[in-house]
Amino acid sequence: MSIRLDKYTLLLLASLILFFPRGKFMTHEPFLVWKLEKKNPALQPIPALYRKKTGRLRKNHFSSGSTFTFFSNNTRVISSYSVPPGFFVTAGSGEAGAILYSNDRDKISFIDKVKGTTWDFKTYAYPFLLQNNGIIFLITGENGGYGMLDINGNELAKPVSSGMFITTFDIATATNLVLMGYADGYAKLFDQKLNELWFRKFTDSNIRIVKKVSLSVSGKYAAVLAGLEKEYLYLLDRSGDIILKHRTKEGRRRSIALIFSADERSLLEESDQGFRLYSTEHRNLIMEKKIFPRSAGRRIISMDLSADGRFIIMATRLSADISRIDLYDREGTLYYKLLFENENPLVLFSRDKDNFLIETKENIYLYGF
Amino acid sequence: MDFKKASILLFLFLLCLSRVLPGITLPVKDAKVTSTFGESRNDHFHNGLDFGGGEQDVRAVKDGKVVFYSDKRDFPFQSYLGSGNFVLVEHKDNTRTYYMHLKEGSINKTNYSLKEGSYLGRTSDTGHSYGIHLHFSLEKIQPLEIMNPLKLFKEELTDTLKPRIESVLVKVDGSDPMAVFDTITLNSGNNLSLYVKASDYFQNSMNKVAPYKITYSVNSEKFREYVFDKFIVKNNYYYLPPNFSFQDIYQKDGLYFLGDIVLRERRYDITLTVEDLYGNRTTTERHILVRK
Repeated sequence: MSIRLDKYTLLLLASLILFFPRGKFMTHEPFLVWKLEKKNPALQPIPALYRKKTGRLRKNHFSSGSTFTFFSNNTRVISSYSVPPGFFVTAGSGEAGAILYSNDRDKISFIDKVKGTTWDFKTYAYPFLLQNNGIIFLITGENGGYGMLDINGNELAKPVSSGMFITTFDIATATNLVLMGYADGYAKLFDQKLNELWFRKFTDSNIRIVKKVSLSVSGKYAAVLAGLEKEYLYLLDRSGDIILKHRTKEGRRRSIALIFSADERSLLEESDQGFRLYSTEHRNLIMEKKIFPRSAGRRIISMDLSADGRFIIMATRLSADISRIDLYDREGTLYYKLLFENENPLVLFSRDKDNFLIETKENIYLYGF
Repeated sequence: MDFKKASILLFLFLLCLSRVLPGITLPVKDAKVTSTFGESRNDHFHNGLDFGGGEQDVRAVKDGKVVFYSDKRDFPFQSYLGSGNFVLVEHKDNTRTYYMHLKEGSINKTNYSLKEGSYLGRTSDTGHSYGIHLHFSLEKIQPLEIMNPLKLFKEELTDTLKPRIESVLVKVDGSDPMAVFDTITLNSGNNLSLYVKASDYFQNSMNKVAPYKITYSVNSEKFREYVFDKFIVKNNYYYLPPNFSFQDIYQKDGLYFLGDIVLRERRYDITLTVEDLYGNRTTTERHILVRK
């Protein structure tokens, strides 16, 4: 049988191509799974659902006399605790509990979400990160040095002084490797005992500064944003060798969102006009999505990459009161948008499924698709 | 040349000079000094100056360029670093200045080329901080040295208060520390460790701060001196030149360790001098008589 490609057939084919759903992965629109009202301002989002698995500082929300509450993954209250006088909670969203530190600067305490206070640790350092796998990160002074404890209060590494000012750091959630970026253009990788594994100076700029670092889940890949007028994004392997270098032409003075997918195959970079997506396997830029012009003044509040790197979710601020949340696929096609009457929504994909969380001042939403 | 012409020339000359000479201004208007460079922070040196004075504007101390800032307003869900919201400015004279613990959302993000006095942000209490203040640091970029910023502002601030020597303590052969008020008698062969508790008060804040210089002499011979001019960085640690680590200098409770002597049979006249950057000075003497 032969097919004649006359003008009507071509028109039909063109129509099919034009209207064929470009979302190969998306079968239907996201749907709301549940919504949790944050009646208590000190309420924490449900940590188990977060892919990144890191605690967050909420010093002001958890000052003395306030209470904080632990919830299970299905939003049931597990326990509530009052913050004792003279204490602050710094990292309240770990899987297992929360950390308090005292104003007297000489100890931190761990609050197990079931058992209550389980241990104190004498230190002048400032606990500011509790990973869900139980690693507690300490800092001394204004980023002067870093140390680590385990979930039982045992010291894994005494605070290591940095010498140079630390501008950024990240932890590989599966291996606890630590990548630090410095104001003098160095990045250094440490193991969980803070032994130095490699260091590299990024000297492609007239002014050397590392503005953002990110590690993939296992630490197999590292991403470093460095430079000023000449700004570059570097992708490095586990040994610290550069496997991709991309000049961004943006010259930012600030940190940006730099996120690896959980499968370590993709890297998402916030840009001034949207985002860029890189392949770690093929060591190339897959796609650059320009969403808004720089002059529009819209800012990305939060963004995330799904575990398999297929979807990108992004919250931007349209005005002081209105925020917009967009869901894109890895080809840059917009699938879904939501408007929120809220200043700063947090968007995060869940660890293993294509669910995403939206946290606003008043509520936490879980969407599935 | 008549008076009119001379006046115009002088004016133009001074104008040119003002453009050529590097200017310096205080980073805050109400510059109450609440902590000085080199103070003990229990496990590390304080590497800058703290200015209290409540919430106020923070300004660039000299011409420069913003090379980095961190504002939680941009990343509301990220943890604060110890420095809280901060701005890092690079200057043409191979130095950088750091302005830390700034108020969320207050940082200037539109003008990166700064003139002396340009607005940078507002003071606050963000990060590892226990009250509204500005932590200001100054460093030389190459070779890396952390400088005492008070030297930069010496002319802009005044201080006529003398530092204080609160107590002089000794440990003999590792004993518990004991205060020495005038003269003590010890045995030959004893190992003597000397400590001093010293402090200073900055005139405009009356906050207890650390002295700038501590000198320890034995029988008029200088035995040890700490001068808090700068820190050098070796193997990622700060050292007070020539080679004093934090642990070499500071004991618990902020005592300064001044060194060990194995005593011989003689008289030891110990002179301790503490001094601030303005030359205000306090000296005290202690005497050790050593018997066989």
